[in-house]
Amino acid sequence: MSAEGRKRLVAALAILLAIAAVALSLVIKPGPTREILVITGSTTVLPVVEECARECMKLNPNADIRVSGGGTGVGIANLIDGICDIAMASREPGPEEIARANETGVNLVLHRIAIDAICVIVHPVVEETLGEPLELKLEDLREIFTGERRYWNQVDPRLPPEPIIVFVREPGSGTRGTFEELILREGDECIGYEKHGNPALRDAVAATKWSIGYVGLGFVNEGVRVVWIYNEELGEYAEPSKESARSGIYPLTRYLYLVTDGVPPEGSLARDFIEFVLSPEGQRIVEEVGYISITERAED
Amino acid sequence: MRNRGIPGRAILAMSALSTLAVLATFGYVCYLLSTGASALKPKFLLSSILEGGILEPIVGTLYLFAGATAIVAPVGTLAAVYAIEYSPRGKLSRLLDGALNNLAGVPSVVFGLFGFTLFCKILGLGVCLLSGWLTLACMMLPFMVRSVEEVLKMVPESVREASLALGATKWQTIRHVVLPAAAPGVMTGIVLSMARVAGETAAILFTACFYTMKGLPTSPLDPVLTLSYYLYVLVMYKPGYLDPSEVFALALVLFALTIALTSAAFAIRAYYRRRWARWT
Amino acid sequence: MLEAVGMAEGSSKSLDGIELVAALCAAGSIAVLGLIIAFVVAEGAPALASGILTLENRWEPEYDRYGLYTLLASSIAVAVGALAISVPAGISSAVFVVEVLPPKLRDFVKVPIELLGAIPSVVYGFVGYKVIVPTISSAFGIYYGQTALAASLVLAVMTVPTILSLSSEVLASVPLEYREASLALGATKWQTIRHVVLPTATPGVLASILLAFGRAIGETIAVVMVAGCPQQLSGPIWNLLQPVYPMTAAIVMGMGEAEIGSLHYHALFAIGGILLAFSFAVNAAASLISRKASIRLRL
Repeated sequence: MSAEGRKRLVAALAILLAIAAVALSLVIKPGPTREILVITGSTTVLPVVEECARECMKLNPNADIRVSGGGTGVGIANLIDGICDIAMASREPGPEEIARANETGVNLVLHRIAIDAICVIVHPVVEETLGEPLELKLEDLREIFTGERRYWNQVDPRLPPEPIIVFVREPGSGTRGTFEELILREGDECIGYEKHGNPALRDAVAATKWSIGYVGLGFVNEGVRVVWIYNEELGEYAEPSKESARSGIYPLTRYLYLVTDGVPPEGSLARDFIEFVLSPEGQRIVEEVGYISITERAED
Repeated sequence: MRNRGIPGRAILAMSALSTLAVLATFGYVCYLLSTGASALKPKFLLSSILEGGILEPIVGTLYLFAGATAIVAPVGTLAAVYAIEYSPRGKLSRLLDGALNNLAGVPSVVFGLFGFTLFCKILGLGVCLLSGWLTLACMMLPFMVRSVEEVLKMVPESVREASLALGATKWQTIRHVVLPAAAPGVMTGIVLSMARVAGETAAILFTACFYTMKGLPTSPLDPVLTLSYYLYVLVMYKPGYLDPSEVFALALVLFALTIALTSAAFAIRAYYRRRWARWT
Repeated sequence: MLEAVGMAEGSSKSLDGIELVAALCAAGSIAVLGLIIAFVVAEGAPALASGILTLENRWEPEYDRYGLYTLLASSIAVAVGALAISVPAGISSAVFVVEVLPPKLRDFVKVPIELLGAIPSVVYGFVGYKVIVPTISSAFGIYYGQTALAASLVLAVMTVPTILSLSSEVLASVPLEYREASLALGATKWQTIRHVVLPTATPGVLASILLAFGRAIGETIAVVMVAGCPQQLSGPIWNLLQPVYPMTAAIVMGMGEAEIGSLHYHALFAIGGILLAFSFAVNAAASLISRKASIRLRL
């Protein structure tokens, strides 16, 4: 074969290979047709749902459950746009989201699946300098996160005059929404560096000295230290933990939800999945991840 | 005009230093990524992301740019053929030239917005492989067309004239004479555009990618994971999911893939540039 | 080639058909650009019309604040910072490669340089996040290392190959006669470079700088991983040690959360429009300059 012919052949082969790869992907279908369930949303709820999905797929080999994070806002937006079947949420939908859902004819149904405590976390250097965990009131939190108080010595005189580096979650985050609802007053705005997702925020706090942030209870690890929050009624500071959240001593608690468009019909994969999460097996996973199980199920 | 020693040596020193700095940067990046070589075990490369491997991203990357290439190669080649063979001074060709120049400069995130609007939303494809193919094909167009144009221009006019003098039609000339000679250019275009998009993240971030839970895409309407997207997800959203050395290994695989494709493209181009230089 | 000899005459019908298809491909390619502009403008226009976009220093979609100053200033600061490093480095390296190195070494050195430009941006972002950010943090004693400086450094490394390859092409294309004439008049090699070659190459070099600027403004993934993304700039625009929020990062961060059709969504497209405008302006300026340059060289 001539040199030109050879090159032509190589070029043709390359293109053929590309087309073959594409064609193969259309042809190869492993096993029977699978039922697909798409779940997106809150990174707080994500670890629970990921593990539950894994278990569910073991029980039901025909199920293909696709899970993605992105934040509560993304989940609800996707649910409204029809991109996902179930949205994970760590807050209730806001007025704009409800309005948008009404516009597009989506009926948002919330399923409570767990109780979570929002932990305020700081870099270990804060606790080490104090020699004990940092204790804050809700009012202190408000002033720190709105930028009224900017230096650590304004928070506690034992701390040096270092600037407080505030990390917040991205817009739409359920954790952010709940946190701001609990500590901000009307018209306040949080100011800080936005991190997307619980893991990213926790790692930012762990890596940045003199920083403060907030994550779900299941995300606290040795790289950060939790802040004890003052409970007005009891008159004492509460350490965030499963027990204090369950008993209501810790003030920053919230529900975690799965949101669907209407109530999923009996026998559908969505229904089976939600029932699995609410079953003892699913609730065991909730506790394992670090949240608090919800024993009775409430729908609205 | 008589002082030559000191300014001359100063410029020499500075320019040599900066060249060395550039080379050293490249060397440092290579070295840094090679720290991930220890994690490059077959288990890592072949197991699913659910088990801490990177199989889906590797296969997904291949699927993604194979499909995109399959779309852009014929379209780009034909557009180049039109511009050079059929209508070298035509209005459409000049418009094409300008359009391609501008297209090459469009930021990748704007391609993502465009792809999302046109393919995901208006055409209703949703976030899937096909949307990614189409979006990436649009991104690759300028590189594809330019590469083919370059080699088409190199084919001496005498060759075409000889063919036409022997009685072949224009299309026969193109098909049997010019295109076979241009095959290396097509190859270069394909490989160069592949190199360009193998590492592309922004354009496919919201048009094709989704953190899939199980397995590979089975049809073009499924979403896909790529190496670049997975690296982005790991750094931004899931720090700590994989060991640091494993994340470096992922970056290393992506880096090696891009380097291999780019080097292949340059090698092909250098080869036929030398070859055609002998004809003129 | 001689295969053509045995060819029967084809009908003119197939000729028209193929030409039509090829023309359609060409037209389609042009249409892609048109469609991009159309969509970006169409989806971004509602944001402009509703007046939510302001020029204040607050980009907080959460609270419906869409102040463009934060994004624009961040993009420009980061791009200018990147060019401040890559332009001198790129040009002087180009001078070295073209004027000093023997041709064999030249080809050898060009390889790592071109490869440097081919590395995916996500890898650069990753390296920046792992290496540059902690280095800045410890070197400057600031706690949050994700700053404009980090983004500028990463972009500098990414744009150096652009400037280097384009500048060396331009330098190499300065006609031999110019150099020989200068040397014949008694100038040294370096004087020739400084007073003859560089001035002649200036338009082309300027064009390459413009293109590098365009690339720096349009870079997305690498900056979003190292720039910090605050809601407002806490210091003046030239303070490179503050976290910044370039336009491209805002789009990527916002797209997931913005519902289709919401104000946030339209605002992001408006930003895309600004980016498009930047890239077209840069392209137009660069081709204007290079056209003038080739006219100059042809005398």
